[in-house]
Amino acid sequence: MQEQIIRIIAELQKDPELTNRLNGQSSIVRDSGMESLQIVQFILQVEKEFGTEIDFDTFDMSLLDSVERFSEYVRRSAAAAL
Amino acid sequence: MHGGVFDVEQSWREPDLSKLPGFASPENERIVSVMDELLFVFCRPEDRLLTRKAMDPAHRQYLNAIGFSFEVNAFDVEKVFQDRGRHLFRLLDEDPDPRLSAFLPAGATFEPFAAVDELASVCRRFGLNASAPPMDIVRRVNTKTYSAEMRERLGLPNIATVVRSSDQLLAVGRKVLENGAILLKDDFGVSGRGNLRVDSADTLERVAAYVAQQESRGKRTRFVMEPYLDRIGDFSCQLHIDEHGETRILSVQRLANAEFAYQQSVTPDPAFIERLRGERYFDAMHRLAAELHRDGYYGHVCVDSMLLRGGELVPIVEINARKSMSLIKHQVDAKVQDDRIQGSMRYYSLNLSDPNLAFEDVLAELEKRQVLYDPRRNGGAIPLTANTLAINRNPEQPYRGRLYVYIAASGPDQRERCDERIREVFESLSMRLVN
Repeated sequence: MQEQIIRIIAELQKDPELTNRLNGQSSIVRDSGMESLQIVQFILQVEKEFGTEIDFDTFDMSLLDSVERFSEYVRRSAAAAL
Repeated sequence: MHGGVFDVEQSWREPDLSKLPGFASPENERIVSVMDELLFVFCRPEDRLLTRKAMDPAHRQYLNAIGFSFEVNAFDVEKVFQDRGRHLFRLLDEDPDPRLSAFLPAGATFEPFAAVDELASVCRRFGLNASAPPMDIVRRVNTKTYSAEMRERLGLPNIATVVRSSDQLLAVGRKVLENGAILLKDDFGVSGRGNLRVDSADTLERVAAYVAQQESRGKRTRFVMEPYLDRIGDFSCQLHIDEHGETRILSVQRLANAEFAYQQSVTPDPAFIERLRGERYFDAMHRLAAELHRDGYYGHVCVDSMLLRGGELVPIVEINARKSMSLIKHQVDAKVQDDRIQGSMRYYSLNLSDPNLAFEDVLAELEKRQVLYDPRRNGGAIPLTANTLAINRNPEQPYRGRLYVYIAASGPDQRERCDERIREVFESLSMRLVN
C-alpha cells in the first residue's frame, strides 16, 4: 500500500522521481511539496483507489507525517468500510 | 502605517456557507500569518510597518542597506500563533499590547493589505485614519459570483454557473463533465479550500455528498462552477481606483501558478503588453474599474486573467479587491528602477532541519555566492521575508519554511543562474527545496 500511496503522490505532483525519493518514513506534506489544494486531490484519489471514505472535517493532519502512518490509517479505514 | 492579513478571504467568508473538501495545514497557516513582513515594500521613508511578529534584525538591516527605509515594531504583537481566525486586526482590537500605542502614531493613515471588519475599530482605538469602502461592498466584490456577474455586465464570455445546492452541483456538474473536467470554486476562494478540480463522476458525487451533509446541518451553498479550461498562461493586472473613480493601471505581471496557487510573478516583455493593447484588454480593465466604483468600491484591485491554448484571452478570471503578491513585486520593480532589469518574484518552499539556522547565515551564504542583490551589483536576489522561514522552527523534527525572493536579472538566462545559486545556498545550509 505504501508504494501505491507514493505512486499517487508522484502522479499528482507530475514528478516520477518522487517514487525513488519517498519512502515509508517520508512526510506526505513536507517531503512531497504538496500544498493544501493538492492534498485534497490526493485524499480524493486515495478514497477512490482504496474504496474508503475520509472525514474531511475531523481528519487528523498528523496522519500525513509519514507514508507508513497514513497507509496504516487507510488500511484500517478500508477494512472498517467492508 | 502599513499592516495586513494575507489570508483575508477567511475573514470575509460568510460562516454559514458550505465548504469544498479541504484541509488546513497548521504549518502553512503559521507561514501565512507572518507574510505581513512583505508589506515593507509599500513603505515610504517616514512610514511605519506593523508586523505580527517582529522582523528579523539582520533582514531589516539588509533591506535598509539596499534602500528600503521604514520603521517596524521591534516586539511581537502575538507571542505564540494560535489560529488563523485571530488575525492582526483582531489582536489589535481585542487584546492590544501596551507598546502598540507608542508605535502607532495617532493621526497617521492605516493602509492595510486588504480591508477587514476590525479596521474601523482599530483606527478608532489608536486614533488612526483609514479610507476603505463599507465592508459589505468589499465582501461582495471579492466573491467569485461577483466576478462571474461582472463578465456578463461587461459583455465578456462567461462560462461560469453559480450553483446554490448540492443537487444543483450534481445536476450541472454531470452536464459539464460530459465535455471534460470541472473547476469548482469556493465563493470566497479561501486558501486550502479555494478551488477543486473534478474530473470524474464519482469525485463529483463524493463532493456533492459532502456538501449535502453540510446542508443537512443548516449550511447554505454557493459555488461557482466552470469547465476546466486548457490554459497556457496566467497573468494579472494591478489597478487602483480612487474615491472619485479615477483609475490608474499600475502593472501587468505574468504568473506561474501551480494548481491555482501563486508561485511566481515575472515582468512581461513589451510584445505581450502590445498584444494586450491590441486586444483592448486595458479598455476592459477600465470598464471593470468603472463598474466596481459604481458598486461602491475604491482602492487596490488585482484582476487575474489567462490565455487559453487556442489563443483566446480571458480578461476577467477573478477580481481580487485588495493589494496582491503581484503588486508587491511591482513595488520592488519600482525600487530597483533599472530598465535593463526584468524582475521576478517567487517563493521557495523548504524543509529545514537546523533549528539554530539564523537568517544572517542565509544572507551570508547568498553574499558568498555573489547572488545577494546590491544596487552596485548587476542584479541579484533580494530575500523579501525571513520570519516565513523560521516560524515553524522545531528543535525535534524537520520543519517547513518558505522564502519569498525577488530576482533582479537582465533576462531569463541570468534569472536561471541566480536561481541555481540560490539552490546552492539552500543545499549548503541543509535546506531542502520541495517546490
